[in-house]
Amino acid sequence: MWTFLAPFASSKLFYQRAGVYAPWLGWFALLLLVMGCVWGLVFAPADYQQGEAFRMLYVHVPTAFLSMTLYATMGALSLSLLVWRIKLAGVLLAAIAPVGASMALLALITGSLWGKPMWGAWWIWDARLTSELVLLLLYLAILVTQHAYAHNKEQGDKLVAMLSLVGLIDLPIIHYSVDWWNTLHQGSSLSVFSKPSIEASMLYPLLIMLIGFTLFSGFIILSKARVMILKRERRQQWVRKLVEGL
Amino acid sequence: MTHALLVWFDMGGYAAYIWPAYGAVFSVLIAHVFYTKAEQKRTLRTLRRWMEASS
Repeated sequence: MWTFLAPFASSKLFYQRAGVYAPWLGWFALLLLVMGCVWGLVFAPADYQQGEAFRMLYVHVPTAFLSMTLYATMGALSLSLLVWRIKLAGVLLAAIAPVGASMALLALITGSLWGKPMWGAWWIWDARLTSELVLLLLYLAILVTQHAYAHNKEQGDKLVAMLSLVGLIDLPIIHYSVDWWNTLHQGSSLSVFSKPSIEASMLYPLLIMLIGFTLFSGFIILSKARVMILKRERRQQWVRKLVEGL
Repeated sequence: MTHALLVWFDMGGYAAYIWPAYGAVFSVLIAHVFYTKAEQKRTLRTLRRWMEASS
């Protein structure tokens, strides 16, 4: 257990471990994304209702999923920063926010490009769409806060953590919005607790894309976190050695 | 062959929605990779200069 947790207590260890894992995540992500795209765009059969337009699923669902999963991760990190004062959690918060924000933005863009041909509108003020927009705004608020506290990162981390915790309330709202309100948005294709409502030939490329996007996010987050650690720990001996040795 | 390719590219008439969506998604992902790499290089350069000045 301790060997697994140790990198989270020591920035140096985290920097080294992340440097080992990040390239693997990156290459696997590339492999899976290429596989998922070819499978989803070429081999998966067209939908009986939506025709070829359903292929939007393979970019829309992973981006929307990650916009929420990354936010939930930020919630957990915020707790460990505020309660256990794990400094590294602050670094990871800062590394995740830009990735999560792009995923939320992409989910809205792909959703809009899917909504136009299916519903006849680019945008409607419906529960699912509005709550996802709120998520994007939360991410933007976090990014602005980080930027404003660039010269007092410890204080900035704490504010970001509190902001993320307050924003957590939006996650269940997004998730259940399609059940709680009448909405144009279709129900979930996947669920942890029940059989997926999607055919296997369409499901496998979706799963591959989901894993691919997740690994990709991990790759970017670890790479960003490493750069941030170097900046923040610049006064440490090991950073000096590392930078001067390059 | 070319015909089949064109049919595929047309995406059943939804080409104008599918391709911009995939284009947007993958441009952002690629931008992240290059931005992060550039940031890494810039940071190392700045830190080296900072260390030379402070040592």
